Amino acid sequence: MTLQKYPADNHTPKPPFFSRQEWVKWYTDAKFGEALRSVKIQPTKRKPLPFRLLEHTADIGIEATAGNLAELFVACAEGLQQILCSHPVQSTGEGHPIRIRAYDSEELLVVWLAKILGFVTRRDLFPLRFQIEQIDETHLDGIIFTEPLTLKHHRLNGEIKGVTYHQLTVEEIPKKGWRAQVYLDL
Amino acid sequence: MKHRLEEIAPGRWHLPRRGAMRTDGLIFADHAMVKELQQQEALSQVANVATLPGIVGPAIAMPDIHWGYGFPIGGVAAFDAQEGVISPGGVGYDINCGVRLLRSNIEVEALRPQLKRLADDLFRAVPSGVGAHRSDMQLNDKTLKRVLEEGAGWAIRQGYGREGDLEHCEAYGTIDGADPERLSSQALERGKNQLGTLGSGNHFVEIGYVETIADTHAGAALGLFPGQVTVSIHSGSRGLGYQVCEDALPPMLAASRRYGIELPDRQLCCAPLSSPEGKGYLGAMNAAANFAFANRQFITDQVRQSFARVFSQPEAAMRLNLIYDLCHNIARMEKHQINGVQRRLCVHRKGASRAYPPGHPETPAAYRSLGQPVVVPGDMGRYSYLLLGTAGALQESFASTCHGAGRRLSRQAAKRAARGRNIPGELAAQGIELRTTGRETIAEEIPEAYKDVREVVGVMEQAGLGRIVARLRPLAVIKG
Repeated sequence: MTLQKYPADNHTPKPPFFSRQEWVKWYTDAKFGEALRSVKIQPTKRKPLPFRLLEHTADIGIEATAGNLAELFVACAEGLQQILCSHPVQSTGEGHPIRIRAYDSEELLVVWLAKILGFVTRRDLFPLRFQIEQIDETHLDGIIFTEPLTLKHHRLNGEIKGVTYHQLTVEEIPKKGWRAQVYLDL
Repeated sequence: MKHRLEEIAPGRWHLPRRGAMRTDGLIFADHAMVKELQQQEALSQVANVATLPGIVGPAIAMPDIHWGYGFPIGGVAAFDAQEGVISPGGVGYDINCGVRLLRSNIEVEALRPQLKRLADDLFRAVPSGVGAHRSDMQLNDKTLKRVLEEGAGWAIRQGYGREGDLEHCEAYGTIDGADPERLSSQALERGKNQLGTLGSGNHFVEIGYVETIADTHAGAALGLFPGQVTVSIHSGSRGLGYQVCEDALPPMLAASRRYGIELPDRQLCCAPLSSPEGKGYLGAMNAAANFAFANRQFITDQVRQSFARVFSQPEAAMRLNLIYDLCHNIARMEKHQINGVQRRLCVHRKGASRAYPPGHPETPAAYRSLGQPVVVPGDMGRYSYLLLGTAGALQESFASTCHGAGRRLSRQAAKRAARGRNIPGELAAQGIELRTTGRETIAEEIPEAYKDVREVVGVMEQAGLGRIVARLRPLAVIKG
């Protein structure tokens, strides 16, 4: 038996040496290349977190930036929430109205975060969401939404002993918004 | 910020007074430690402490110093009783976090076959981890107030220990001047079901053994022998203490403003010792410190019972006797000789240990000829040390020495270093059993997260602030 020799095909691109995955890519590109190239796939943009965690030898810090004071306080609260538990459960939760008076915006931030932490340490409630109704530099009215804390369910990362005043900052940055920095004792 | 340090003697550095500092800084460290210190905030914190009113002598840092909040961890500062201040930032949230060491008459080879069982039993017996509490013991208001006034003594009178234990505790397990009325209802509530619980983070119960004895005379006097099984307990005042600190800070900030005290860091907020605010905090802090003494006493009882269950012997037969219990985070009213004059001072130790020398009236009678024992825990993979207090410490550091290894990696850096590793497996390969409730804790507490405690105690001995008696190796570690 002799093998049939096909005439040379100069129109179809030659497949390279490939794996199965590469083959699929080559085939679809060869067949639908034009169509696919005409569709621009937008990369999924993850919404940047409004805070970042600051390294500290013994403890941990939160640095947050936001357009206004209310968003800044919510961002710091979300930072605290992430330190408490990396994967909080999403549910509606029960709202607890909070009213705080303090000497200035920095002390207001510490008391706000300490109140949130207090739900975990004193009331076995996990903070889910934070809503600021009204805020200025010395007072805050807000709502903290919580759900019952079950250690197995929420898998807390570790114990937070307190919200410190160490290198505490709440500042307005001209044309940029607000920035806060706060450290927690672990 | 880089600080100019002058080496005044091997292991001893001078941080010159400048700016608002009222006194110099004195740092005990070797060259490598100083190099690392220049990369972090701890030296600035020593300088900050030196600005506080009424400070007597230098602001001191021990070789386990690292960045804290307010005071550095490993910081010591003394304030005049009349003109000085007291600062919750010089004590910390975990008031009277401390350590105690028990010895036994069990030899390590006799323990090894039972080690896993003992580790499991201890892990069940001592509630640990975030929010650890006891369902079998809920104190009422009246009982809790007695705990706050009487400390370890109350626990022993209830049958959770022996009378002899008190003779081997700092302040005999009860600090005078505790004022439970100063505690908020939240603080009291948090303490009601947390007595006898370990907590999380760097708190631990560790079964170990005496690896080497450097000072045979002192070792024998302390009842130590090579291969002897020991137990260390590291815990504090739990949520009650944290709440006392949290409650104290806003009034202390207001007091600082009222008394015109300029603060380089708000966490250093303070009030004159003679003021109502200062006295109020001192009373509340002493009450929380007593709670911590009682907590470690309860855990001691659980350890003794655990040994009795596993070895099927009465615990008295195993002679699990307390060597010493000492505070790491505390402000104590003490008398010290300053330039030949005896003065009453409030000595803040934040991550530091008291270390009285032989012959001192405050050194427990059992150790009067030796000096006060100082337990210096290392990390869960290497070793710990037992030291004795010296005359040098009394003269130079208000009778203080180091409290542990001191962290060198941040918690996040430690987690990165632990990623992909089987830490319990690594410890098991060294013959160390680990029991813990939190995976995060294991990563944060890996041995390399800490300085080598051998180098830390080496600096202390070189500087004459402690005398090494023995080195202990871990066998099993219970962590929260």
